[in-house]
Amino acid sequence: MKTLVLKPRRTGLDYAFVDDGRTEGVVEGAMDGEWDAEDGNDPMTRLRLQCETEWRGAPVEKILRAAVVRGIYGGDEFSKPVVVDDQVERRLEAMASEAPLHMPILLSLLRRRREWLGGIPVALVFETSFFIGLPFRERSYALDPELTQRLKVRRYGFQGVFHESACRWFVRRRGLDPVRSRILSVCLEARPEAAAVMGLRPVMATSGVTPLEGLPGQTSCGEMDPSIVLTLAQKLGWGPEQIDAVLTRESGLSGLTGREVNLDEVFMEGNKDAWLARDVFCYRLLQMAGSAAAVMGGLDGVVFSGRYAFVGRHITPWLRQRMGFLAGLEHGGVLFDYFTQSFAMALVDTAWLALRGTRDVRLHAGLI
Amino acid sequence: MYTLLKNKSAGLGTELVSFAQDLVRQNSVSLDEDAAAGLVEKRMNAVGFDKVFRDDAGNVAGLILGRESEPVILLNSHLDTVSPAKGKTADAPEAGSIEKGRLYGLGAADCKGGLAAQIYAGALLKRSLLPLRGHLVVAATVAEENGCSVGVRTLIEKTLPEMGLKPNFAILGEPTGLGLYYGHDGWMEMDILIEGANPFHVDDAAMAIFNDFGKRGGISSGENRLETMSIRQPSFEKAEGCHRATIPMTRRLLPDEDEGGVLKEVQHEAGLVAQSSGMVAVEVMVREEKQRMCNGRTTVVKHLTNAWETDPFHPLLARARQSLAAAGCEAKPGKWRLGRLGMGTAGSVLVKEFGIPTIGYGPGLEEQAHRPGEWVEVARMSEAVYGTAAIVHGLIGVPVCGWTTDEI
Repeated sequence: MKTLVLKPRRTGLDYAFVDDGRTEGVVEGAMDGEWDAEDGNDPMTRLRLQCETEWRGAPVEKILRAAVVRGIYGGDEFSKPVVVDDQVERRLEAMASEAPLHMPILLSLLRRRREWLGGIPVALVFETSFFIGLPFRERSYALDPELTQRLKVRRYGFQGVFHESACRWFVRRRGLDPVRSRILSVCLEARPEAAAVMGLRPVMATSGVTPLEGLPGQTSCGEMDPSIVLTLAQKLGWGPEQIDAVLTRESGLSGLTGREVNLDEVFMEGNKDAWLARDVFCYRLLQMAGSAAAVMGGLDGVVFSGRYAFVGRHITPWLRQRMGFLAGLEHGGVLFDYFTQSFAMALVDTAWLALRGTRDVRLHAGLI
Repeated sequence: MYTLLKNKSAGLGTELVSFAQDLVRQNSVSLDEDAAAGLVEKRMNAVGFDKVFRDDAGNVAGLILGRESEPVILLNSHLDTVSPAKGKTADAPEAGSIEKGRLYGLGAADCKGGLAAQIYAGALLKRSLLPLRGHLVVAATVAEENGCSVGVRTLIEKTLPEMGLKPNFAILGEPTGLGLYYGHDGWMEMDILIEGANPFHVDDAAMAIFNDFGKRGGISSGENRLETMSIRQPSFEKAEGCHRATIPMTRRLLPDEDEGGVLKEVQHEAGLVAQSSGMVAVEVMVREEKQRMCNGRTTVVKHLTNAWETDPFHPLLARARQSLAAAGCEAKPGKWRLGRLGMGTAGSVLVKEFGIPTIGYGPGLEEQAHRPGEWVEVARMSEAVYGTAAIVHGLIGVPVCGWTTDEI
């Protein structure tokens, strides 16, 4: 049996089939298509047709144990993975305006899950769930609490799946005490994110209400003085859409280099024009590392994860040198490691860990 | 978000053009819009509007529901056209044909191209799955070209309130060449009536008024010709023992002028001119006409279009400009010139009668309106779909600030 992993995108989806054996047999792919296509060209119908051919007509239930879907935002509503039912759908619908670009796509997939996936359980894993319990002082902004509650303004992290899996893996691999471990988890994706994880629970995150805050991303500005936004509005007469476009699409590493770049190119190519971008990125990361160490009262290790986890090897020497002051305090140095497992595996791990005891999943697995 | 809208808009291009061609091919002279309304109704249903309905006047309105009851934005274009010009279109391409990137046919610019773009802007927003805060109404209204906007008046007065909808803003698909237009002058057709017992006095007074007003009015010189007034020869009749002359006159109305003030002014001036001709009475009134709508209903309409203007600093205009700039579209503000008298837009009714802030954003060019061989650029229609969707999202969309589509 396999578990189907689905990561919906605006114009398609990434998928993976993870065998029960798990360490092998991960088949990954991508299916493009519009979610609103009415002629069977939506990505899920195309994936299903492809599977029917490959499985020679075998019913979905005979091949798949479950499907695991990645949701980016679950707000305060979803603190852990859930098995999707009509009630979950309704709760998601009510939250659509909090993640306006992502939630409608997720709902498009879930509403037709029975048509596409038959009776197999569909688990939904949210990136934000890992961060739902951030300490109050960390998730709060210094604004009028009435205002922040009305606007649902609080800090989240948006790479929870990678952070959680990477930290668990790091603790196991390095033989750390899970309860006392103090880890800086750095997820190197297009929108990078760092989190201080203490006892496998996050105590600090670099992202904010949206993934725009924090480390500079490939195209996003990261942390900056809010008065810059006001200046853009006042002096240039820009509206929110134009400011948003500049901050989310034309800033960050691409903004600094003046061309479209990704993390890999900035660190691997060694181009001169990428020097400033590299320097700014590493410096911001160092600041986060210092904050994380301060928040946790020390640092046992740094683990890099994400699509560009390998870039961490280029950052490590620079970071290690500047974090030398932490060395020898308790453990004789800060450990560095690289979690290179695929997102699909990480997602299945997270879902299975949370849901293996639930009735739906046990029923389907023949355990009841 | 804009990349998404742009890509999806490009995907709708073929459908949009084919629909605009059908619409242009379908004759829909004022008060005979039924068949064209049928086309619009069918298309709105096909592209996924949440609700589509036709009202008593023959207007078609499509609704896309938002998450809250306010704000409501109205995209409005008229379905009707002026009567085809006789004998002047022999060389013009066939209605609905596309040549060198231009869609030809009566109403292509004014404003079937705009109507098609507004319907597809709704479709684009629907297909983009971007959540909307407020509701979007796209309305194809009847009986605009006869100068009286009976259709849009019924829509705002009756149809939308019955559905619990009150537009907070309106965008007209009239030809603006993709500029953001916020008003135009108006015009008023009047009859100057001169009555008296002595036919010579009536005749003298009528000719004196005709000559006097004829000298003042006319067309301003230069390239930017602007018709300010037109007056026709008086007609004479004998009725109930007295003699009467009627002088039809059309006059431009400026934004600070209203019907009552202009009537008083004309009556006063005509009275002064007539004084030296003997004992005559002068009265001025707005011309009225009984019209039979496409649904068979009859109604009396005034031949009057008020000048209107939305404050250029109104948030509607500011947000529209900002949204277009963010979407990478040019957003040149301006006003319709309406060089010839007798033209106008539903903005007169929306702004002056219902107080709804209104702007125009359409693909056609103003100078093409009511011209033989009328055309609209196909590329501009596609851009209007994208631009209109961007404006609507800026006004009633759930803000996507801080989020991007795929990269996390």
